[in-house]
Amino acid sequence: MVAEPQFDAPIPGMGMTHELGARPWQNPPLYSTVDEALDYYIPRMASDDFSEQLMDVMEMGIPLTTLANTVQLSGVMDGKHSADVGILIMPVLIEMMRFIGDSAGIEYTTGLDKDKGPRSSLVTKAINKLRVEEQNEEATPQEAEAPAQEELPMEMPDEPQPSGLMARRA
Amino acid sequence: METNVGPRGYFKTEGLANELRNRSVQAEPSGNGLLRPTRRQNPMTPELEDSPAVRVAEYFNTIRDKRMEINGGRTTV
Repeated sequence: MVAEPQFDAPIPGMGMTHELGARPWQNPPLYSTVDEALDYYIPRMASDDFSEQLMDVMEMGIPLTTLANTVQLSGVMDGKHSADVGILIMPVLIEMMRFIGDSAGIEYTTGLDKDKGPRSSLVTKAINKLRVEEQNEEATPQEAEAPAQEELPMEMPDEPQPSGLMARRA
Repeated sequence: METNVGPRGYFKTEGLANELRNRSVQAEPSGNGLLRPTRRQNPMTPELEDSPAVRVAEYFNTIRDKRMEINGGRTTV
């Protein structure tokens, strides 16, 4: 008689986790539809507290797609909605962030593939940083150059030894 | 490995939102015959209306329109 495979055995590491249902995302989500989830997110995103923090982060050059992903992932972890609802609402979250950024007149990075190159403000910042570094280098006396290291003679590789099973040993 | 599906989802939803907008434009009653439909036809079937992706696209269109109003009709993507 052939033993039937057991598929209900615990997976490795299961004993080190919480029991099923102990985490928020293992319970039924609070908002089960996209409408409910967006009713939860949109007023919060439109609030002054969130907008100010969002604008700070946007000015740092963090892509909006990354921010939206983080927001929806935290909603999944809090048990607000399921992962698939989170993925579905992500475009609306991105669009809402763009709306907030445009209404505040902030230059932001969307993180979409159509973005061409880095933002001009970031390039300017990098150029300024380079100039400051150059000025600092000019101000400090240059250290005496270390003597050039003598080049070591390159070791010639030995002739390839036969390595097969039937090869003769030296 | 793709760790953030945001860009892909954004472009899909944008395409769907554009398609919905085109459908609503095409659904205007046309012609001047006696038997022409006098009421504007609903471009979406009930199944389509119930689809979460379509509802998301409608939200997307609404917010994008507001954003375009701010930008004076130009998009920044």
